[in-house]
Amino acid sequence: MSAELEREWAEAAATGDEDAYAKLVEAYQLPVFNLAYRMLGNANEAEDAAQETFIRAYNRLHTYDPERKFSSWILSIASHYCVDRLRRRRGPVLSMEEIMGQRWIPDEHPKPEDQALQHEEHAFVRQTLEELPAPYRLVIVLRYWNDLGYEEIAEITNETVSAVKSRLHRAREMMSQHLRSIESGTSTKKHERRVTGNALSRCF
Amino acid sequence: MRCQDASELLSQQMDCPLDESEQHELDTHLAECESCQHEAALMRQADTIYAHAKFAQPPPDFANKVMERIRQRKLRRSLLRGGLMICGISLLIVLGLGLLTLAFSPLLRSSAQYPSLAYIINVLNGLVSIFHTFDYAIRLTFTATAKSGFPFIMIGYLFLAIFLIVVWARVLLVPKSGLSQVSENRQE
Ligand SMILES: [Zn+2]
Repeated sequence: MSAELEREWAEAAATGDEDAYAKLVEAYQLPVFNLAYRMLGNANEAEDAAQETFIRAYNRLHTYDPERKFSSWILSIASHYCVDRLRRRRGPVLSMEEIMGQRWIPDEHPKPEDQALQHEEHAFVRQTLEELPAPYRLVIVLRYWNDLGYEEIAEITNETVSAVKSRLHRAREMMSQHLRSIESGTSTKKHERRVTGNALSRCF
Repeated sequence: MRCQDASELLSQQMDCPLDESEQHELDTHLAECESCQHEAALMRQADTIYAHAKFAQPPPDFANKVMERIRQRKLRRSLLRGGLMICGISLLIVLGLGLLTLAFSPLLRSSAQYPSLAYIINVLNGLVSIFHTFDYAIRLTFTATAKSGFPFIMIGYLFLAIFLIVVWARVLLVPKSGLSQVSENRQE
C-alpha cells in the first residue's frame, strides 16, 4: 500500500472519519492479528488483542507521526499490548478448558503428501514460540512474519539494535536446542531430513 | 574464533549478508568444527521452517467488529461525559442554593456596614428570586426530559437556564429593593 494513501487515511481518521479508519483496519488486520496470535498462542485471545490494538490506535491517532510508517506504529502498539497481556497472565499459560475450546488456524489446504510435514512444521513453530520468553518471541515474530530488519524491530520494541540482534540469536539457539531434543525421536527423522535438505538448497 | 562467536554470526547471516571477513572467519571455523556444523544445520532448519510459516488469518468480519467496538466506546464516552456534566451542573445549583439560603440569614443585616459584602449578598438575593421564578419551569423541563430519556435535551435546557440566570442577574444588579441603600452608599 502506498505511504501517501496510508497518510491520507490516517489523517482523515484522526478527524473522526470512521470509513477511512476502517480501510486502515482492513489493510493491517493480517499482520496485527498474526502478531497477536503468535504472541498469545490462541485465536480467541488473539482476536480480542488485535481488536484492542486497533481501538487503542484509533484513540491515539492524534499522536501518530505521518513521517513514520503506519505499519511500524500499529505493530508497536500491538507488541506492547501483547507483551503486557502476557505479563498479566498468572499461573499456567492455558487452562484445560481453554486448550479444549481453542480455535486453531487451519492451514490452507495442503496437498495430502505435504500434510504430515506441514503439521509437524506447524507444531514446531507453535512449540518453539511457546518455549520462548515474550521478548524473544516478539523479535522472532517481527523478523519472520513481518520480515523486518534490526532497526525497525528495535524501533517497534523500544530496544537497541544490539539487543534485538542478541535476542534473535538466543531465540535461534533455543530453537536448535528444541530440534536437537526431538532429533532423538524416530518419528521426526524423515521430516527433518527433508527440511534440512530445503535449508541447504536455499543457503548454498 | 570461539564457537559462541560462530553461533552469533550464523544467526546474523540469516538476517543479512555478513561482510567478507566475517563470512570468511565463519566458513573457516565451520570447516574445522564439527559441533558448529551440526548447530548450523539445526539453526538453518529452524530458520527455513519459520521462513515458510504462514500468516494466521483473522476472522472475515474482523474489521467490522473493530469499528463496532469503536462506535460503542465513543457512545459510552459521550454518555459518560453528559452524565458528568449533569452532575457538575446539579452540584453547582445545589451549592448555589445553599449560598442563597445563607444570604437570608442575619448575616445580611450585620454585613450592611461592609458595602462590597452586602453587594454580593444583594446579588445572591436577586438570584434567589430568579430561582423562585424559574423553579416551576425547571421542574417542568426536568420531568419532561427525564421521561423522554434523552440527556442531551436536558443539558441544553440546563445551559439555557444558566444563560437566563446570568441575564437576569445582570438586570438585577441595578438595585431596587430594600437593600438599595447599601448600594447607593457604595456608589458615593
Ligand atoms: Zn565451533
